Amino acid sequence: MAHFDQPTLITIPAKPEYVSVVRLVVAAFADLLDYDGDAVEDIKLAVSEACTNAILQLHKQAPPEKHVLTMSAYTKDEHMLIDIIYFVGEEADAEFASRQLQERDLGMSILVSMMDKVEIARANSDGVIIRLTKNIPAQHPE
Amino acid sequence: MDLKIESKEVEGVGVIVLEGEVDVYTAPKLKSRLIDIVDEGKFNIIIDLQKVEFMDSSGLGVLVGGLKRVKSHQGSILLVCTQENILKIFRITGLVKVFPIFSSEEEAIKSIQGS
Repeated sequence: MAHFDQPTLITIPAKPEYVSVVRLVVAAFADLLDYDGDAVEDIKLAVSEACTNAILQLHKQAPPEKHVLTMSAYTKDEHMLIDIIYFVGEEADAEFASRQLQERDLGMSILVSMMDKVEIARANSDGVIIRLTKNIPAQHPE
Repeated sequence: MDLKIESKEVEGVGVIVLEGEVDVYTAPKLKSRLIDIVDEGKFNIIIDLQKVEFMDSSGLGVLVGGLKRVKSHQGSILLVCTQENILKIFRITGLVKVFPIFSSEEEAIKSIQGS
């Protein structure tokens, strides 16, 4: 199995028109691993939902100069991890991100169905991380 | 990729044909077009998703909103979709029970005319 411990990063303005750029990057990264086409589509969908959630929170809670988000994709053991990281300013409210995701119940249903694990946590004092984990399929011996 | 939206009338039924990606950026365009069509007095609407390459919950939310709007006029929204990656999100969210889904525009039109 290929390992990509060093993160692939992209930072975008927190604007709806940039979400498709993140989808392209994460799909390219997932292609490097052993996912089939359906799994890559699932990952794109989950990342789209997470970025949408981040953008909505930033526009509700953060001053305009904080309206950026970073996607970091890497592997750890047998998993692909994708972090969506953004800074709300002052005291980050990770619970707000969770509540908003619950309220966007269609988005939450999709997110948890597409990934093996979804976690939302605070990063430092003013940041939020939405961490998506997808198991990497085991390679069959030749 | 952007979203192309074509609307037409087939045998008195409003048909919206989508091509491209429906996400948080493009969903408002679809919402706006749906509102326009309902305002024109068309309450039975077919939305053709055959050329949609990607859709997330932003698109689903617009479809649900559109359905509420036409149902207040005793109308309906029927979908045309055979693509597994799009059908999957309707199954996951339970919306397969909310939207009738057909494999062609012709079948959807027949269903409206027969109801």
